Amino acid sequence: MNLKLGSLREIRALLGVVAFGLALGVLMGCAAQEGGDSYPNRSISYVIPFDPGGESDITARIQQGPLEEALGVSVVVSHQPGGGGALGWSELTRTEPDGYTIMGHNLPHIILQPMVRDDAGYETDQINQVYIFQSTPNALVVPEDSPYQSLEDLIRAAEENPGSITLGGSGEYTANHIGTLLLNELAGVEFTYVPFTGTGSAVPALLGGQVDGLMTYTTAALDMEEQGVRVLAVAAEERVSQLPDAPTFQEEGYDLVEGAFRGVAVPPETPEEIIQTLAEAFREVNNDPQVIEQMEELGFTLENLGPEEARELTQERREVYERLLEDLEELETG
Amino acid sequence: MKLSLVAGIVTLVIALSFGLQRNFSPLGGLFPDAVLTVLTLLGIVMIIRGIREPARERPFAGIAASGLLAAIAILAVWVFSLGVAGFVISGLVFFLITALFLRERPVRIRVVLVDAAISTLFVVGIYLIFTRVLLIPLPQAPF
Amino acid sequence: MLELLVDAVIQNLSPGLFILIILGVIGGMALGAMPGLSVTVGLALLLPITFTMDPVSGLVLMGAFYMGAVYGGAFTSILVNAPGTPSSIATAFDGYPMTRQGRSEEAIVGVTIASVIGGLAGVAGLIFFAPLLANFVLNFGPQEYFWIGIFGLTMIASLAARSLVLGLIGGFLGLLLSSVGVAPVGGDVRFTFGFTYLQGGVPLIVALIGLFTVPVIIDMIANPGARHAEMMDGGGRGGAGVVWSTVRDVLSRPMNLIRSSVIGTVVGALPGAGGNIANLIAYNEAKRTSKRSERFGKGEVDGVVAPETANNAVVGAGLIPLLTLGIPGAPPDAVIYGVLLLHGLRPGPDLFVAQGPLVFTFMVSIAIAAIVMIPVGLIAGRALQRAVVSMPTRYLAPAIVLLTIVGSYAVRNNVADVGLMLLLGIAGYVLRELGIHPATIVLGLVLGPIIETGLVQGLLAASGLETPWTSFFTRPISLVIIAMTILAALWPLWVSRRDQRAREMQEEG
Repeated sequence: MNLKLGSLREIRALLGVVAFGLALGVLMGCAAQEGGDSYPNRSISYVIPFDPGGESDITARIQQGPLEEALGVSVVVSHQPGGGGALGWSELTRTEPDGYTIMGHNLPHIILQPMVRDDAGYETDQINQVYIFQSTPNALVVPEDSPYQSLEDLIRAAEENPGSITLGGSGEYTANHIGTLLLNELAGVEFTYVPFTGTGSAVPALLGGQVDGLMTYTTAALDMEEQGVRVLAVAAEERVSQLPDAPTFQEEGYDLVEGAFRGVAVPPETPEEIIQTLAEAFREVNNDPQVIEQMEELGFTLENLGPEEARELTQERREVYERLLEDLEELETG
Repeated sequence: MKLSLVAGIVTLVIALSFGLQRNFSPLGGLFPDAVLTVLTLLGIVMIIRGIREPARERPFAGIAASGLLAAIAILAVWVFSLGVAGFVISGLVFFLITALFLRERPVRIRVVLVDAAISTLFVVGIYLIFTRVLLIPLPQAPF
Repeated sequence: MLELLVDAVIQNLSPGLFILIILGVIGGMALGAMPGLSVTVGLALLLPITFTMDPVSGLVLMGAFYMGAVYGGAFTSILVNAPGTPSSIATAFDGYPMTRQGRSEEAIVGVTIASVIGGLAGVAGLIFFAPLLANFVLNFGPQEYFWIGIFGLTMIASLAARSLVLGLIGGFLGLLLSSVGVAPVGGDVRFTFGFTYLQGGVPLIVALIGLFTVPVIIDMIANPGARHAEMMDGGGRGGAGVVWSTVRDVLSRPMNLIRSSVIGTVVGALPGAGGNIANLIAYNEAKRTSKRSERFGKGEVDGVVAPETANNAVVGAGLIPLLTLGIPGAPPDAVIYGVLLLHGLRPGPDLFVAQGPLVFTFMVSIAIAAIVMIPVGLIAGRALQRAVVSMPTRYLAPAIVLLTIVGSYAVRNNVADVGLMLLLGIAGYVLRELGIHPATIVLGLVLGPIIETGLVQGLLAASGLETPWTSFFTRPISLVIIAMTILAALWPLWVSRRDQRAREMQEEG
């Protein structure tokens, strides 16, 4: 069984194999060193702080090809999931600010996690935003056989039975959760929010009648239309193109605009030119007809917010959330 | 040694170290609190059982203490060096060390060379498959 | 429908698709055998490739890959006690003991038959019972998932060989570990011991590699001679004789295959449970009903057949909620869902009508992928097995270390996870010496999230009631699972009484 040693020939053969492996490695290493001195001149790592297979991941895979064309170097997608994205983002704050590691980010996650956790491992301002390229507004849906025909019906029911109308959604302190809390405040009612681990597990709960409705994303609402669910309202400023029959909350008299935004960010203190180069590349990708088609097929709403605009949006949402959470805290302690 | 007694004490210590950190919202605490309560009760049962039963076998019987410590030491330093020296360097060094440590015959220069070759084959092979084929980054040396 | 089926089979046997199936199965097997690289990672890597293909080819490739990956997870489970995916946890319980007895070839052959039959059963469930099962699983709410988790805990009784209390301690330690990190409800960050890193919790694969594989490495380094001595004791037969005798042996107990297929199909169709739970339940039921149940855990071939039948049945069955309701039941299904959407195919009842040929070709391709696993498994699988068995311990031990490092790192691309893996491994080694079986801890870790989310979601969803907790005892399916739980908990008592009575009878007679 034991490897027979001793014959010089075998050792030579082994060393040969090793040398071949090393040579191959060196060759491939050289091949990766493409391009000249200006940024970018080597492969860029595009990190998704969530599990593979999710919306952020699929988006990144769609962008990968066009992004490589726009930047002229290869783009490698990898994952650093954990803690609802927090593990990846706290890693980002410790990453070399050379522009060769970019990471997906989500609003409102990066605003709310540092706000509600003692130590999320990062601060909102440390997430150096480059571009926000898509959003999924909240949508309020009920099953086909639900007695509630309109938003008004549902809110009246909640007025009559405080706390007993349940709305499912994806996760805690997410756009779904905050959307429900904001609706509670605007309408002066009390819906009970039931968090599920992701949109995927919330859908069967709605179809099986475990919850009265879902505060979910337009993407999921679009998927479920096939099953006959009713979209009562969409939390966007104007109607969503894929769901033309669904009114906005504003049309129904509630000033609720809330949803998740996805974008990319770089480590703090990344040079301004690099941020501009990347933002330009993502703008180009977002205008690629095929990318537009694929994103719309998946139900996303395209956004085009550069670094400045992204920061402004973040600041604006942060103030809204701070006030909301303060009010809630007063409610609980008072 | 009274194994049940030790198991009971270990259980209680773990439960305590987790329990000291509890500061939860009502729903976030429901499940961990239930688990901690049961675990504490089980620990107490084991302690009572341990006090009443006679001393039995020794743990780690049949394993040489030196071998056990060497195994844990190799693993610990290997994993620690991963963060310092990256996957390839730490892998090459510790693969070779482990292979030589497990030799039955005396170490000669030829043996070291063969083992070095095999460790290179494994470490570089895995590294290339991951980083070049599967495009999954492995820990890099910072230098 | 028959016409659609026949057309689909013909489609799949066209050279283009058939080659894709073979490539998918081989690629999937290789990736599945690596702990830490999940099926989902592999499918995500394939995603950009499928952009360039027509929808049928893309789906067929992914389906074959998925099937191969679930099968491949068994190899490292059996050969080095490192489950390649959480779907092969229970495979290690008897698979690794078989390897230590020099019977790894028998285990590999058993697993191959099991995977093929399970894979075919899952696809049959998908083709013939999809609408029925989809309506059934929609009745499972948070309360039912909670009770499934509690039912799973009854496995502690059969895993804990020495003492029930020690088994319970292991199970509850696992439940406690599962609650580290962000709470599913309330958003609290729990039990981080001051490390921000721990807000991400303890990943199952990291714990699995640590608790199962690190003790194997420690034993190999601390006592290098033991491995070969044991394997030689087992006789170490080989060759075609083993293949045929194993095939006959496994097929001579069809109930094990049928039961495990049904478990895999039903659990797989549930959107909130997957292969990780199905393989454990199938193992436990096989052990419970087997005439040779005392041999489970010590190298019983039925103990590797049951989990591997169930987990491959999950592949086809998991597509039931996806194709009929648009619900990706498990993370790999989410990627397949993405492919469907990107090609403008929106899952739902209409998909079967409007895209019948495409859907049927896809479903049949998964069945063909299962059959392709026979030659691939018997050739590539046994080659791998021979290589590992004949490798000297002094190279095998550090090679397994490399595997554990890469596996625990790749889960989240995080070096800290490697440290956590080792820490849990050493803790698991010590606990094992105290009589707490690592498998009970893993069981708790698998079931913890289901139990907790079921519990708190159930309470919230029933907040319309005066006393929300009563909803756990009033729903019909919940009551059935409660009854099963009570039966499962009392079963060991009944068995020991029966054995005692049998012994008394013998003495009298």
